Amino acid sequence: MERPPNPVVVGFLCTWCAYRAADLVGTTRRPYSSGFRPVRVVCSGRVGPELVLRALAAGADGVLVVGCRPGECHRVDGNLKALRRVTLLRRALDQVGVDRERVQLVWTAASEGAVLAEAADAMAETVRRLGPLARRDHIFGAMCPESDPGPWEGA
Amino acid sequence: MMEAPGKPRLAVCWTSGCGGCEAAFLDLGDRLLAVEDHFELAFFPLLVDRKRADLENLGEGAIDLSLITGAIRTSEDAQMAHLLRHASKTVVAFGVCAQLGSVLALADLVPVETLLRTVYGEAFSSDLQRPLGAPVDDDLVPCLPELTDSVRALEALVPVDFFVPGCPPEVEHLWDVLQVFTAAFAGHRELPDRGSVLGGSEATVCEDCARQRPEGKVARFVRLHEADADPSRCLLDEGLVCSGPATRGGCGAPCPAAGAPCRGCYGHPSGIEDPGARMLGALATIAEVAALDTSHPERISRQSEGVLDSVVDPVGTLYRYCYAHSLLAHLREPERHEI
Repeated sequence: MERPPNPVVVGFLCTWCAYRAADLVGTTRRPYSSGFRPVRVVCSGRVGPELVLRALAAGADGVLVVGCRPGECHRVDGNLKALRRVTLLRRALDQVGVDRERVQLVWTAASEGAVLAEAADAMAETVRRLGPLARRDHIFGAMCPESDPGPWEGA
Repeated sequence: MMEAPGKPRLAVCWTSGCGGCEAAFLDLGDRLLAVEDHFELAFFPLLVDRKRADLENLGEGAIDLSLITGAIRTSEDAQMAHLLRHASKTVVAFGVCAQLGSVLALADLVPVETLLRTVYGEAFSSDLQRPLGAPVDDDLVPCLPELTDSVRALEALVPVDFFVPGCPPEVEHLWDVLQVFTAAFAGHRELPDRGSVLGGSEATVCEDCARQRPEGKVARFVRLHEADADPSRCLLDEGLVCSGPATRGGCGAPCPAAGAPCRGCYGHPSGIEDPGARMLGALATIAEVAALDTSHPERISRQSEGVLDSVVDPVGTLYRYCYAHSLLAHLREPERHEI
């Protein structure tokens, strides 16, 4: 597998605020990290730790969960559940020696495209500093890339 | 080893584990004699005197059924697993150690060197000749198998045909599994699909549990010694960390019935990839922050941290049986040592 030129950050974006903010980023033609991979989800509360770990295991170097601002969740408190899930998952990552900054949560309103773009850029920088996430291939064998494709361009 | 022809050969081998799965065999009682009626015990260190050399002398596929109990922790475990795989037509990962690595795998949370230094150098010892914390004299260390860099489930080392979950598997499940193979070897039925989990159900422990459905609002999680659980309420509602929602059922939920939370020993049901992660999500979801102040995002974060402080040792608790074969164990920072 060839290493993409930039750190791969999977963004789970809630459809109501975060994804609309992403639309706005596109409409205003604001450039952001090319390694950012937005995934639209029904609510940030849908993003369980299993989904985040799946993304990391499958090749992402970081995961950004983006939900509505507190009090503005379309599903009342899904964003607060997302906060607690990310908080607990980050503690588990601490325990196994994976840097907790690889998983982050931010809140945006639908009108805050700039906030989302800045968060994506900041996340890419953080992950670039940490380096590509390594994996122990023998655990699952065929599910994952066979070998480490090396550092990113310019890293 | 000369037995009547046609009697299938059975091997039961313990790698790194506690011997509890073998105790499940003893729990068969009188039925253990029936096992001997149906199988030739080709290798079974608990019951018959066969050496490793006997295994090495067997040809490929000479054993019909091998049950391997225990995880792969030492070089000897790995050798036995390869030997048995070569000598066996069918290999079963018997018990959750062989299936998912079990408690042993939690040792992987620290590097092997730290583990050895702690256990043999720093931990309290009843060896009075050696002052506490003194280094071990190399001349006194017998020749032991080497530790592997990480604890592995059997499947990570050799192809496995079937899995039997449990710590140990319930004795009725053990009996059912033996019946399945006895019938198959006698030609009465087909073997199940390769890769199947035998014993246990497709539902979760909650399906077996007689307690009420949870309300799902917990202000603080408690540990077993702090709890005074109501006999009918869901243990999660009582604040106990019960892994029932992410654990394969079929065991009959004896632990919750006795007031003890499910520890997850039956592993994951199909549809759940990482039961530890599922439980992380479940606990975070039912943790309730009273009177949340939504006007101050920083305060919300602090309040959430506070309620989750009561989840002590998340990985050790929620990945107790499944760590070696989990998505979480798959991840490594680049600077950490590789296998």
